[in-house]
Amino acid sequence: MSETNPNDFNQPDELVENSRIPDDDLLEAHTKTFSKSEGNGQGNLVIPILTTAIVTLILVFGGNYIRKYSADFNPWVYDENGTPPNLDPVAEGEVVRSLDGEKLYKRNCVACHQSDGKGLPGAFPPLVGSPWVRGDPERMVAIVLNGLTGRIEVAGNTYNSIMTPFSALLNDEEIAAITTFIRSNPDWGNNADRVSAEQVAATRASYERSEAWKVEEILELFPLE
Amino acid sequence: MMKSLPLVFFGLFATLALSWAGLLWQGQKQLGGLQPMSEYYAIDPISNKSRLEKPQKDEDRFPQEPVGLAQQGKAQYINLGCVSCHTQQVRRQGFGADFERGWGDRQSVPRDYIHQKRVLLGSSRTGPDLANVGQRRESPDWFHQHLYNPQSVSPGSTMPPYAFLYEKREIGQNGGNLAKALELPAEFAPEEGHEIVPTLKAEALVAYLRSLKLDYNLPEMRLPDESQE
Amino acid sequence: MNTPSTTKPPAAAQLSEIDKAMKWPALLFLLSAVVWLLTGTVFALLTAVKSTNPGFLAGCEWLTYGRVQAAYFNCLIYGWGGNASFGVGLWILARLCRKPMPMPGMLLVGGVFWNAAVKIGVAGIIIGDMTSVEWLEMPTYASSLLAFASILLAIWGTLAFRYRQPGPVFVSQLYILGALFWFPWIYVTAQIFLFVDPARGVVQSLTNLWYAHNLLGLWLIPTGLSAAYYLIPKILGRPIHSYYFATLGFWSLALFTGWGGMRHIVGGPAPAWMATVGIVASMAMVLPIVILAVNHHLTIIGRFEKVAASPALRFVVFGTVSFTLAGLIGCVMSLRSVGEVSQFTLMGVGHVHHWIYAFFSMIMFGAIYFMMPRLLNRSWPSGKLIQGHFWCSAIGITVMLVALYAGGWIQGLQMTAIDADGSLVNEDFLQIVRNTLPWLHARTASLLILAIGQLAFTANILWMIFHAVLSWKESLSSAKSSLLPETAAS
Repeated sequence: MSETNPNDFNQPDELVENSRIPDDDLLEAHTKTFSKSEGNGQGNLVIPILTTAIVTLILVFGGNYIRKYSADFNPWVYDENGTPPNLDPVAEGEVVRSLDGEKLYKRNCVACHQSDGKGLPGAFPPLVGSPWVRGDPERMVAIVLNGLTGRIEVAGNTYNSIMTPFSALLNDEEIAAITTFIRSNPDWGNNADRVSAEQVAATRASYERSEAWKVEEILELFPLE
Repeated sequence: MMKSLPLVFFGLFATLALSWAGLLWQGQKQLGGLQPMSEYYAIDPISNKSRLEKPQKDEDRFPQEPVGLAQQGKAQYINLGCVSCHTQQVRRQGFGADFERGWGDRQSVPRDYIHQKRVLLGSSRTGPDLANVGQRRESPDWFHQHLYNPQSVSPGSTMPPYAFLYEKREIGQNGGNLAKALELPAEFAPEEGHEIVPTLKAEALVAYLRSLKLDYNLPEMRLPDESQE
Repeated sequence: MNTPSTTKPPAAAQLSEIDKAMKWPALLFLLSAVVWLLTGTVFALLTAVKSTNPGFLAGCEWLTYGRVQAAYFNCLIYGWGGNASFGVGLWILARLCRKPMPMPGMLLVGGVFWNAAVKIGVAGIIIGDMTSVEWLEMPTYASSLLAFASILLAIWGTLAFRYRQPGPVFVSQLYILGALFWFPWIYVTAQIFLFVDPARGVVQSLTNLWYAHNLLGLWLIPTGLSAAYYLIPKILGRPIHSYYFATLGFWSLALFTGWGGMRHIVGGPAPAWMATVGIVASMAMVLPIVILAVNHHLTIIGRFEKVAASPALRFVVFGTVSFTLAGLIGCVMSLRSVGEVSQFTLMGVGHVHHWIYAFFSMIMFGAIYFMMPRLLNRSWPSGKLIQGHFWCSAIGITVMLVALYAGGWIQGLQMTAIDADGSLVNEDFLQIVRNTLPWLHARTASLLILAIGQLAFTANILWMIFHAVLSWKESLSSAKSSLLPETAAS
């Protein structure tokens, strides 16, 4: 490689782009501006004022914007103007209202009683218009909690199968919601009282047992109205 | 001007570390531990623990794990680069017009994505948002027709046809496949005596698209009341 | 043409030595960069044509829109952007360290690995191994190579700075060191959080946004700024205006950039504070933008005849003006009310091109026009081709930006417009898609103009290399003929 100075091509600028400062001078010239804060003469007052103004603006704007729109860095707020959602319905006593008995029924009951509540002829008894689900709520809650076996007569037909206990699968609020949905479903011709979680809890406490109810036991405790 | 290498590097490190800690570490702390949740029960926002006394059953907890075929379809979605034109995030009501366009009944929230091994929020809406497409479009046929040739159901669309995910077969060969064959308008249909049949890749992709649904409630984000009826 | 300072013999001889040590690595990076630029443009044209004519080459799975589009961005960012920023950045770093740098082999190894990684990565995208994570589409078997190469190059840069000739430090060095150090960090972090041990849910997206924003803001942008800071005073022979604010500009850019990416998640599935913080950080970028604008533009003011005559400076000045514009547009687009419309539209693509092409690439072109004569020790064969490259690039990118910004804004307005009773103004989504078509055609045209410019650039480089090889052969044969008698004698 030749030893010519690449800074000094002596060629037209359009073809090589001659440089006008060697790197040493470039570094020195700029370092000087630090020691004397000289720049190249002009703008020495304008630029610091401008910078200070911008920094102040950023601080004021940023501080206000964050204070206003960060919702206290709450992970549950997605709307910068929003308030945190109520994640504590238990304390507000809203569970029963917000529980959807129909959904719970669909998830837990339709396999036997069917989605129309009419059961399967010869296998599973209907809930539509059934005296067993109306009247004393404790009867129905007790059956849902602990299950039922034996011959049972509903609306003129006899059935003999097993109902599984739900006490371990559903909590008081859920059972309250399901039984309320069944008992007060106008489409099914039922219009009995709502069932509260407290009632379920009370029934659960008074009839703790390991095997399913027999039909006779239920009839003895809670005779059909 | 800084001359000392360690000092320079400390500065370089500190500036980026700040944003890393503030956004990613903090983000991981707030969102990294989210669990599927029943729509009914509260979670403690601080400890992230459920207030429920007994454990919830899996089928009550949302979002639910996607099933196998949909997972395979997601791999197709990824390797075809669908994300370059489709987002998967419903923006909140009043911000843009996602609700009005029918792209979702509620906004997407971080918990919706916790089961996804690859999160595909996307950054371009050349095509519509797909976060809830499984609820918008019920029929698998529509998806197949649209993928095979978008013009057949969305004339004027700029989406490319994915005909290479489909096979053209002679009718009657291999015992015929009429049930799976695509019903296409005349100008898109193959020549007489042939039918278009989805490959496994296409079936999987459609299964994935149909699995994209925002139809469940979460403690922090509920569907509007009327859609629950 | 000559100024007294350039005739100082000792400095001149030393600089030549520095360039000699950097010759092969710099040539490797720069020539690879040009090849990737052209490859990227081919993919870009395919993408653009496919976006208006979806049936074009649609039968081929490998060339489906999603893959071609990802291949385009990876060629552009890692192929062209990476190679150009290493070639230009490391060369400037070596020059400002004012010492012939040892171990050019390390750079060559890094460069070979980097290019192999991009090649494998782009091939992986095309054959269907892509990850669909924005700007990290390369499959992991390529990204590990890429990470290795970038770490190697970062180590070299650190050593070069550590063993520089004692003396003052120039702000370009800070920018280059920053870019060299930040890239491996964000890249490895993103790989770990996204692929090695994927973070849960949306944390992945946050990582992706943080990465993509920093890839531009802490890698390509610093490299471009370092070249601008170096070339403007060098070519004008005039120190940077208000240079004593340059350090503040650098550190404020470093501090704010990292947070800015979160503005893209506004309205989306993340806590509101994240977007808020991102917006504040984006607005705070006004500080570095103003400082850089003052430093760059005020140094140029009154020297326009030099800009017009100079091949490199034209490009650099275009790039610095684009920096100011892209920066301010970024501030505006970060605001919630603007982002509501511009989010998810062509404006995003436009803004990315504003940074990558109108700012970064233009400055890199300028730097390459300055470097190549010094690396090959010969002048450019054709000034006309340089002119042609400049005007094609300037016009092409302007047309593209206008098309994407205007088309995107209209697209966004149509997508979000709601009338008084809460129903959509433009109900038909497909009609909105159709309305973008004229703008997309304009983009295709702009890409063709850019491609013509790139061909002029490539032709000039090939011509130059051809001459260099010819004269090298000549000198070789003349050396041989002068050697022959000696060997015969001995």
